[in-house]
Amino acid sequence: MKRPLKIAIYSGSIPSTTFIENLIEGLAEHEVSVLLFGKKSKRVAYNNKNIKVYGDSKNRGIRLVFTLFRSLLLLIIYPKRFSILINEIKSYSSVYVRWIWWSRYVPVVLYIPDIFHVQWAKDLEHWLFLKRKFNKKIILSLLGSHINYSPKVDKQLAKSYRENFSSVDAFHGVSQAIITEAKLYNNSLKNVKLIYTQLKPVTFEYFKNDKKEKINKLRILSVGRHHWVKGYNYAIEAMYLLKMNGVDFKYTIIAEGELPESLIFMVNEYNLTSNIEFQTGMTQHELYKKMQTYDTLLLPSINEGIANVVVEAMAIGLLVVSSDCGGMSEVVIPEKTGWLCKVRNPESMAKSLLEVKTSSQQKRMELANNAFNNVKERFYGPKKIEEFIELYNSIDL
Amino acid sequence: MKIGIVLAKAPSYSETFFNSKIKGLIDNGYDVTLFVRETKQTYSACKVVSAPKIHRNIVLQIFKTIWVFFKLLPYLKRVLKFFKLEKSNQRNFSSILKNVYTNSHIIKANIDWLHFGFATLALGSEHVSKAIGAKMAVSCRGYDMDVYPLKHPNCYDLVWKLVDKVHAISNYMLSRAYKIGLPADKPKKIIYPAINPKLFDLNYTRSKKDRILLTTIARLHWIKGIDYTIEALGILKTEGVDFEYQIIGEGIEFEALRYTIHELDLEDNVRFIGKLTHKETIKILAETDIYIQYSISEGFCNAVLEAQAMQCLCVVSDGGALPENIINNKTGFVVPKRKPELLASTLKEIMSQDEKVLHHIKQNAAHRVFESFTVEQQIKAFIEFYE
Repeated sequence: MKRPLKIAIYSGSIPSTTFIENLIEGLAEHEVSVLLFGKKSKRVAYNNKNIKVYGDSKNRGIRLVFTLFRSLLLLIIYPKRFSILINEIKSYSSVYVRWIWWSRYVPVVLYIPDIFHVQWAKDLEHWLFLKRKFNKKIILSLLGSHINYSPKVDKQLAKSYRENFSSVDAFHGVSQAIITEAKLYNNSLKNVKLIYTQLKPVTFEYFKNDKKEKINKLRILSVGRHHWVKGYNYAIEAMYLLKMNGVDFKYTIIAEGELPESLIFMVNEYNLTSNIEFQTGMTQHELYKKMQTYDTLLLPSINEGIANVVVEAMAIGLLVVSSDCGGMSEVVIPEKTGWLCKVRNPESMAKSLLEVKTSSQQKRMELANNAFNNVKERFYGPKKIEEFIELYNSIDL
Repeated sequence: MKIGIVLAKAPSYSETFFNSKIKGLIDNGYDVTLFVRETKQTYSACKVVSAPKIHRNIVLQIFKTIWVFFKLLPYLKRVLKFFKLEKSNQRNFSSILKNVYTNSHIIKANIDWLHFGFATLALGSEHVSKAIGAKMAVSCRGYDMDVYPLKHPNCYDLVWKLVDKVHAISNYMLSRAYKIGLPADKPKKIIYPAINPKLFDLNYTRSKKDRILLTTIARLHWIKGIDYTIEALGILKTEGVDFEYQIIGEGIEFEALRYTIHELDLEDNVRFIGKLTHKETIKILAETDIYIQYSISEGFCNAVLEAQAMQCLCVVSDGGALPENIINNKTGFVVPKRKPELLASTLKEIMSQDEKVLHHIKQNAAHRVFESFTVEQQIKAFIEFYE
């Protein structure tokens, strides 16, 4: 019988983002042996025996003990691997940095996977030795800021992408736009597969499309962390324009992280304190329930791969107004599944929001239905997992 | 007269406002002591007294607290008075103990005025001046008036109640202080920031350049509106205008700004110079054609004063006190804030204007700065303030 594939899903932290956690659980359910390495940020308990966690504790003392124990095991069981790793670690400059990387490398080399799937491109250069020295396969996911803007800002990072992308065995892109973006660093990316975000089937059960006959007070929602790339300042400027045009509305931003002073200042300056509220994160169930109480989800981002929250909004029946950034136009299709507005353009954003408000009930229901059918077709979780398995199987081990 | 000035740390060489004030007061026979929170400092212009350090290690902190309180024994009367005043303001016991500890260096001082250089530094120290028998002054500037109270409503209520005299660096700052609760009948004085004319060499000639040189001096912070400036420059570029824009300063917005530059295809036009010394900055101003300060808000802005002194043509926003700093169409140009398209059209208009008209504006600006914003005038105003 063929041995099940051993695949490491590496994001550096355990647990990881919702999207990566869905991938881990989905693969395990398909009898793929999933190995997790990285720092444990909190206690995790996976209910699937196919998931093996070889994490590092946040506590330095515990990490020291674990690393010493694993190093001893490696030396006894695989002395050759131990010696290769000793040579590899010499490429790091200081003793401290060597120790940090040693503690990360030892569990990976000890329980070495067939495929090492790197989630964040910035980590790639540190793991290519698995291919060079141990002939293991490397897959890289093309996700978010690591492709969209970090290499634009950091020339050194762009250089490392140009040098290292050719060593990757296969790529996974979350949108066509991000794949195009990654090609800036290697025009002939080999074995690239577009696999959209996977939504759990349960998400689609929240779908509700009982739109009001007429929207008197437009309820607008944005969800996402506080970060400049999310473009909330442009959204607040759009709200100011709505207010200037006498539109009755309520805008809620649900975001993790410290509320930026710039946004507080803007809200006060534009006298929008009674129109705009800020809330912190909540559980997914609470969030979906809350989303159902709004008329539209606004994504004012400067850049995105494909924002998960937009796909989720469409799955539960919430109309979407999104900036035309990154891969958003692959899911938000004007007049069919939502409204697209120009990036960094409050006027365009306000215009689209006004269109949501003034659209007929029939049109809004039709768009919500179209959006739901579109995401169910293209983002349905189990189907996406099969596509990942196809990607893994496409590599000659 | 003995004056105690409270600052977070001793001013660095480039902080002309505090340096010139301290030096000026000393030259006029005042005894100045600086009370700072930072323990490491090498300031030589006046006596500096540091607040006791707060240790992370709890055992160390307990011993330090005992030692600090022991050294306060000769000032028991002041400590008890401070305690009583704090208690009357419904502060709980642990807050009072904390405040005694953090203010212990000031409680021991014999001074006539205790002047908090920033309003936020007076929080938790509101009763100190009364306890030591000194008068209390507070300076209203930038962040403390513009942003902090938005996050902490009514935070200065006690400060406003107890302060004897308020100093504001501009009319705008004073209006902000009124808006956040300063009673209208409190004695106040506006003393603008100033420049030291000796530091400005006016015998220079701008070298001829291929491209027009635009400059901004600002830390990379949202309140400086550099993102809007870059957006305006993006518009200029699409309209075929060639220019070089340099930003002197560093800060947390670097990544966002750097990305905007990439997105707007301004890589060949915009340079981040980083932090420079005052002397180096003046050198760059000497080469600058147009100085831009398109901030969301400014308490007043020394950099704009210095740019005017160096005869740069200044284009500023109407944020905060900038319209007090630049008189529109006379000493520079004032553009409504957060409107990149308006900034772009103003810059384009300036670039096509007759050089004689622009020269006249630059001379007006320099003349006004050397006439009304010098350290001599600033010192005189501060002496009047304390007297």
